[in-house]
Amino acid sequence: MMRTKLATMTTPDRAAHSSTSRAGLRFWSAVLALAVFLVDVLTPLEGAIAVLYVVAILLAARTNRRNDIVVAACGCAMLTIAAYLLSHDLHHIASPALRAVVSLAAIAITTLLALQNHAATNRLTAQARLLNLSHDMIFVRDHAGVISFWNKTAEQTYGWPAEDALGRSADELLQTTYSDRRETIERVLLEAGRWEGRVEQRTKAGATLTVDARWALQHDHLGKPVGVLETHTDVTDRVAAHSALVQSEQRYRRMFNASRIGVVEEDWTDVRATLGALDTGGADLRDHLARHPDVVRSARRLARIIDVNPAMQRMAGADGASAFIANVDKLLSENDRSFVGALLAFTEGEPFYEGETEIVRLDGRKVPVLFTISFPADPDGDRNVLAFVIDITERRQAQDALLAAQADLAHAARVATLGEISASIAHEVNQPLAAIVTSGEAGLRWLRRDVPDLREVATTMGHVVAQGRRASEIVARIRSFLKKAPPQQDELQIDEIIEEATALVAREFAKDDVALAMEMEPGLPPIRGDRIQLQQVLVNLLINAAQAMSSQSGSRLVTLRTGTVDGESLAITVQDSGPGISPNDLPRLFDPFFTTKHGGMGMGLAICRTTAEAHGGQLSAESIPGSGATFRLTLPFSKHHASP
Amino acid sequence: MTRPSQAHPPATSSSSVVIIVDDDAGIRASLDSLFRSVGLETRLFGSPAELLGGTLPDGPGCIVLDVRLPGVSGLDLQGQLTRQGINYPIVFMTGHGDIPMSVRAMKAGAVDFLSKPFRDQDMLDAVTTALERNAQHRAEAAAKEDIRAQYETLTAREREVMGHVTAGLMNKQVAGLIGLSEITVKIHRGNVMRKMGAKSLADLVRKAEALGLSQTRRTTDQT
Repeated sequence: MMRTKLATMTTPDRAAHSSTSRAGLRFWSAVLALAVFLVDVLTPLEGAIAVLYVVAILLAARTNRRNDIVVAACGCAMLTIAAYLLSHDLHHIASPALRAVVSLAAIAITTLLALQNHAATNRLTAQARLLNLSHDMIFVRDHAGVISFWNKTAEQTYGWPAEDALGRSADELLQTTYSDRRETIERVLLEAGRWEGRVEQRTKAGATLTVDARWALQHDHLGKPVGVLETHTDVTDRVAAHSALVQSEQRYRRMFNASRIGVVEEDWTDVRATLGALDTGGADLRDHLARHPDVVRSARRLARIIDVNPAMQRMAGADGASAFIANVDKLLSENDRSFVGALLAFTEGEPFYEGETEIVRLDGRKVPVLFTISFPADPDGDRNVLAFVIDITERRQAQDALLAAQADLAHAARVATLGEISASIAHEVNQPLAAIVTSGEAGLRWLRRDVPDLREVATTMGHVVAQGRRASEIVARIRSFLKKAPPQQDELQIDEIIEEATALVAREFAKDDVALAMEMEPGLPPIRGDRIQLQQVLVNLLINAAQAMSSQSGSRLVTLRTGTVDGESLAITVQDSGPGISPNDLPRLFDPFFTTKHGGMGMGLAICRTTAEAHGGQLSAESIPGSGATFRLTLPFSKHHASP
Repeated sequence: MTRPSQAHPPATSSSSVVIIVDDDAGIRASLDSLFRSVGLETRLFGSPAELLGGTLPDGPGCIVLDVRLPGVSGLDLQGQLTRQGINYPIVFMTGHGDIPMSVRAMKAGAVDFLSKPFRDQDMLDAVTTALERNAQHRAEAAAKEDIRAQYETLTAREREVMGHVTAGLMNKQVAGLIGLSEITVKIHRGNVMRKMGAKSLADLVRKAEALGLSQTRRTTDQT
């Protein structure tokens, strides 16, 4: 009963068709009623002709309109009564009256049934409309699998319209494949009354759908199973999305596990809470943190480590991630300076922070690392802070080896440089020795006089001591210049370095009759670097300047100036009054093994430039042929003292 | 810069001055003390320019000079002093035994060439030699000056006669040459001998040579 009703209601055009034929039904119903009336009145036929009005009412009921039924019923009743009155007058009451009453009763019963049927039909229509509204594919099949209902979503998704699907076998039509045996499923369905599972089905277009199926057994009023309501949800996209998600998750997990970059998953929720509650007293957070290292220290403990990948475990010398389930404090070395920067980047909403620091292995050894911390922007991102860590031990070692090689080369060049001016150096050392000897001998003569002059003796002894000190200072200066030591990073006053460098070359300048003019800007901030290497650069530039003028007669002047560049760097220029540098030589001046000196090694300026660059500075040369050359050395001021 | 010598007997002459030129204050001070310890006066200069710009003593002395000095080299200074007529003997010092330079210095009349550090006795000997040479030179110059003064007192005729006589001409030859009687020549000759303080003809010839009159004779020969 329900099946047929539902089946007739499936398609919209069917409903439209019924609405167009509604007028016809009304018309035929009225014609039939009129025909019955005419037969009843005009023919002498005895009997309950009026019972035939029932047909008219049933016709009207086909319109599925309650009003039509009521109108038809009332009309038929009135026609029955009218026919009775016209045919029989009021005195024939006996059997014709009884017939009329029977007819009316028949009309009434039919009307009632029709109205009931109408209500039931309406209910079913509503249900069917609901099923059509569902996003699930819903169809009904009998126990043999023959489809008897096919909803709109099924039409749209599977591709077959209801009229094509009805009467077909569901499994054949949809080529359904089950994960379980078909018989087992049928048995479960019969026993439990329902079955749920995932199946694959084909659409008319040939696409394969992954479908979540929920089947419910339908029973008739006797409890006998009559059909199965199959509700299918298309989960193809969801399954695809899920599997893509799973794949992506697996891919990232593989990357996490296989990467040679150490990855640390951290939860910074507490860090944000603590920094948010921090009372800086109105001060800038940067300043506050700089003054309160304890805050930074406690923040380190609040950054919880959730997971670390195998690369990170190896880097830290650990067997598994469990060794890390603590906080960042354990991982960072005591004198780490990078975490403050990370905290500031975190609070300022930066997406990531890069830095260099040392991590502490479980065995206590320190490993130099480069790291990037990424701070996800989403609100839940604090739980998902990722730090990517690269071990730069080897790079550091290579860098150290390079620095050592450079230092060796610089040392060799210093030895060579002093070799060039060895005559001057010998003279430099010899002068005080000669003065000592002569003063000593003079002292002895004052002492051996008939009346020793002790005041003069004392004076000569004073000379001896002073000149002895002077000699030892010269030797110390040369020794320190020739010392082979790893490069230092000290705060240096350029005036002191210039003083030492000019002292080393003073005799050489005097020998070649070169005047040295110094124009020093007073009160320059300190620079950072290696005293000896910078001294070497200056000694080289000064000796080069002096040698450039060795063949010229007339005045020989070297001018050394200091000054600042943009307030950030120190500039030292060494200018000579020699013949200048040929434009052909100028571009190659700093190339290794390039020299214009007879017997020169050609490493001096190359090493000077390397030294300048290693100090974050530059060394350049300019020359107008005929009017001397100017070498310009710039070095950044030490950052700790940089003017704000 | 002059330091008075101590009240001790000087090695050579009480008024001898050693002029020290060195750019190294330590060397200057030590030499100053050394020379004063033997009773010599000293004058100290840091550079040739100081020396040339300063006033030098008139008395006997010598110069002790570093051969490599800023500005002018010791050798150039030597030349400049000679051109200025300053004839102090020079003792050179050098920081490094520079043989070609020492050869040049000695050729140019240097008394000695000492390498630093030197023995004090070597330096004192060199300075003594230099001072002696200076003293001798000064004595010769003084003697020459005396002869020139005597020569200045001669009349033109007497000078003419002296020239011929010292050239080895007989009185008669001289008389013939200048158109005078032999007696007049004799009188002039007697005046010349007296005025020049010559004890003999040989003595007069020596004085004439000191005055550089020998050329006169040659020109006379040619005429």
